[in-house]
Amino acid sequence: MKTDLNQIDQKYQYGFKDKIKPVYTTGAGLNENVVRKISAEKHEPQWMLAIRLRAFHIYQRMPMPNFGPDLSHLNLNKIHYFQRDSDHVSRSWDDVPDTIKNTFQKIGVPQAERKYLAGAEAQYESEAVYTNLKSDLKKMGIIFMDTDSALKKHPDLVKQYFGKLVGAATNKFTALNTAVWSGGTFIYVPKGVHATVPLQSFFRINAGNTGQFERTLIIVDEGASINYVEGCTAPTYSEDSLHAAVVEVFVKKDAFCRYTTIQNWSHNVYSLETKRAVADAHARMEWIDGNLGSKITMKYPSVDLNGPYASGSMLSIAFAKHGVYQDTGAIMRHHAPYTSSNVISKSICKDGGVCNYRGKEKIEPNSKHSKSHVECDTIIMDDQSTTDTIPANIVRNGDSTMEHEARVSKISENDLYYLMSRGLSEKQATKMIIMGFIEPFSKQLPMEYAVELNKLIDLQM
Amino acid sequence: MTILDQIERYSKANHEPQWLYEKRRVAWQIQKDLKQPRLNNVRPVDWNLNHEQIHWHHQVDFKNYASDEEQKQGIVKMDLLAAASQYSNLMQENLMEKGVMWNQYRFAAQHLACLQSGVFLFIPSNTVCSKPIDLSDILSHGDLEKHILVIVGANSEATLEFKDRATAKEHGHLMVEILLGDNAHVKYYDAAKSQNRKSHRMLYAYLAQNASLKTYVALLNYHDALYNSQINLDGDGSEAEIHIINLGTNVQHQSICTHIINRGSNTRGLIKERGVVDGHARTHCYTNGEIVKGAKDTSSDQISRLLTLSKQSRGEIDPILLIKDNDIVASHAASIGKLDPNQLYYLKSRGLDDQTADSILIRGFLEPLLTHFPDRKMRQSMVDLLEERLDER
Repeated sequence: MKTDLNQIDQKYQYGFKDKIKPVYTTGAGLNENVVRKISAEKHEPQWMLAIRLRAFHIYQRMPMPNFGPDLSHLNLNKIHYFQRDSDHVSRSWDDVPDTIKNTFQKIGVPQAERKYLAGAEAQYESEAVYTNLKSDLKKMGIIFMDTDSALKKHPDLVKQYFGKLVGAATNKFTALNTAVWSGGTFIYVPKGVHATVPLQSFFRINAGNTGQFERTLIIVDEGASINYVEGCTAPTYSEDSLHAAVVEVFVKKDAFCRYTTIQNWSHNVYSLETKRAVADAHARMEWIDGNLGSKITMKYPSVDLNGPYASGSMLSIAFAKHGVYQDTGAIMRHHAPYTSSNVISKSICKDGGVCNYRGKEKIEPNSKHSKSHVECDTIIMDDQSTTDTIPANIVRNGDSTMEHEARVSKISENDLYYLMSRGLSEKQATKMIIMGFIEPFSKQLPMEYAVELNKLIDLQM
Repeated sequence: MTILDQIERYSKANHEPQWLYEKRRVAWQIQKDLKQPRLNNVRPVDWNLNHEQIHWHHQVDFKNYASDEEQKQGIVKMDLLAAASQYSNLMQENLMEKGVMWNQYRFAAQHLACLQSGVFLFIPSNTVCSKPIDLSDILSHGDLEKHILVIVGANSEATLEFKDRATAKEHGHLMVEILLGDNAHVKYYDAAKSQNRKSHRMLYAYLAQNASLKTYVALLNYHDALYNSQINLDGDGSEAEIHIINLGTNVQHQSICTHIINRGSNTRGLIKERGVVDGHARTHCYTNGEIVKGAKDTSSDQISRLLTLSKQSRGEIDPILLIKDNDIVASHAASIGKLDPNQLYYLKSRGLDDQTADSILIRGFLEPLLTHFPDRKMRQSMVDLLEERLDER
């Protein structure tokens, strides 16, 4: 991908904060009453309240993670677990409050994008405020809405899949999310349907101390395919904020799903996400995951390869600058014969940033003739930064193959010298090398995201 | 009689120097408050020995077992506890103080407290040993806690050899500590084909400036084993290489932990492993390359390969890089795979039975590493050992 060098000095236009008064909030802190209030405020069915309460009790019992970054500064009692800034879910663009429209404008949703936006779902604060189905998606039978609405309109589907992949007891933050979840995306693609345009969702954290606990549920039925794109930008403010999302993706027989995320939280956000997908026979699941911001990220998207010939892939980049701790990786679990997985992870750290790869590839005894390939590359730009690579490669049968490669180095002095001898400044040359380094990732992105990524990398350098 | 009393009686009976007795006593008193090292998923083979069962029978022997020629060069090879009396100052400074700290982990404290026997090898500065020195021949059998301490002075060169042929009755920890002075170069050959029910072996090394340590290890044990090798590259310009071949059969469960820490500038670490897993065996390789802050112009590389021969065999590799500086090159490569069915088919079509064809391919897999072991005689003895082990498979 070509890099436009003229744009290097552009200011970051996404770092701003709108003044919004939430219409409804449960206040700071969490107890059983808050959970009940959230459920009542949303007029949820009894079974969902039961799930929430059960998860809340698990949450109280569970310990914090005993590995990776230090989470002791995260004060879970100061977080607003639920707030709503507009009373109803808007159906058309005109109904969307102006302040929120402003935000989207500043995020830089291009003019041309507006028509796509009719089919995209935008999330603001803890709940979707704008939902509109593009008519052709509707004709195809694709359900694309926020999870709260889906719970009202398609309760059977939600009940069938909700929490079936990521149980409340998976870790402390999945328990928390299950107890207080709000918003998120729900997608159902019926059998044999191919979504022709990528489905996109913009969402962002705005008010300080806002917990975002999205619950995303994607079901791609047999033979269907979908490309879901999710991008986040967040304004900069001082108090700590938590983003603990849960994403569950069900990819049925012969189906395909690609889930693309670019995360650029501001540097006070704890991003502690759990993403898990299951792929049935001949299905393919792809995670494309960019982590550019936040204070601490702990994210290990996983794929359970449950049917023969299923395949999973993870393509990720992580960029850590001063004060940023990126602890990311991928988990691939092979449970069926002839399954394959592929992980490519690229990390860059500078100015004292920390980039860790923590992954796991597990080939179970019943998963004969399976293949797994992992590559982790890290560029470490100065001696203040650190990086750890901590993979686990487990093969439990004799018929499978597993390959793992990793490399850590600084920017090659030869490459720099060559580019500078052609008249580029050191800054330009460095940037060019970094762009080349992450190219395998950026070329998989839709065009506008690739452009956005370029700008974000610019700003980070 | 408590263990402390036993330690006291044993220590007094052998006329151990006061510092050693004191250290043992303190070590036993603090051991229960210390932690065991945390190894990811590694099943420790008996970290906790039953020290109540120790037979404190070892008699201290003051003979210098180095050959006449070596003695002329000033080389000392003798019983570890005898050396503690005879070379008291040297031992006090070095025994479990540099390669591994006696008060760092519980097993280390227990090891020192209950130390029963061992070997002490001292090679003075500016000495080139022409012949390999065997460390295993005077090691007593049957003791629970054994220790080998090797000190090599500046500018010296040596080849060391260790043969582990432990019998089924033996059981316990063996810790090898190698301390190298400036510009000392040591090659260490370790051929293990032990009948031991549970073998737990450790190697700790400390390298001063420009020193180099190359270990060549063949782990061909019959039963469960934990092999742990940790090399500290403390001096600037020091180099370490670890080469390991390994074979696991039947229901063996083996863990091989290798750890190289680059502390000095211009240091270089390399870990190369090749292992074969057959039957219902499991092999777990835990390789760790660590570069501390300030270690400039360093490299740390790891290559681990496991061949899973049977359908039920299992392999695990955890290749870890912990990098705290940027003027470095670090990499790891790991693979776990099966035999190429085409090659097997070809060999069988030439009339070889399964067993023979397998053996040829195993040799073909291990030899790329084995053939680079520099000493011809030592290499040949390892190849012979491998053949023997393959025949008994």
